[in-house]
Amino acid sequence: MNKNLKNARIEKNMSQAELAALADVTRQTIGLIESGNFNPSLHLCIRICNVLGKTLDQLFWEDKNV
Amino acid sequence: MFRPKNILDERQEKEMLIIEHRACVFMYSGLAFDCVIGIVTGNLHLSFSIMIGIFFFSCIYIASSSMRKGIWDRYLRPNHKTNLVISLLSTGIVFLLLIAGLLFRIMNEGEPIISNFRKIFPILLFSAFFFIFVFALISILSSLTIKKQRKLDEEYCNDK
Repeated sequence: MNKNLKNARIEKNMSQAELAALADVTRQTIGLIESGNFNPSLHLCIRICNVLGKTLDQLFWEDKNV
Repeated sequence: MFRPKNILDERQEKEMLIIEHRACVFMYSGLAFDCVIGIVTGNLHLSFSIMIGIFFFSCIYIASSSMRKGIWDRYLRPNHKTNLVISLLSTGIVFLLLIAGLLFRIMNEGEPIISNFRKIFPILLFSAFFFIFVFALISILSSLTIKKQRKLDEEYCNDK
């Protein structure tokens, strides 16, 4: 489950539908990325990062040591 | 060269490619089987029937699988305008094919085209029914796809 993405979206006070519209994907795709059921391409990751104003590390890097 | 914009996102595109891949594998293996049947039995009617069956089964598989995933088309949105355009286009193609078939038969029989002019009316009538049928079918399928999209949205999405 991608909690970083979900937290960043909630931080921005954005719904999944709003994020989906700005990232040019369907709401279902955002839901699946957040639940960890779909691995987005780097291109889509960058688009989502740009919309949320975060870096790739902040949203998609999983630190195994934590 | 003009290429319409792909309206599917990358997840939908991936799902669509999986569906198309399965249909393609089925079609290739089905056609190979059909060739074997044709060569072994020598029955061209049977071979042609199998080929038509494979084609229709593949079409139904692609349509039903993509609808189950809430996908309508790569380039068209499921609305009345596109449904109307697609219905008109398909009706136009069917009408032209039927007219071509009629002209071919008339010319083979060596009769003048003018005296067979009234034979065009059954074709016109069939084309009208075909248009109504295709438009109704596409409208029902597109509304089912929209419903499925909404259901999937509710199933996978969690705003909180």
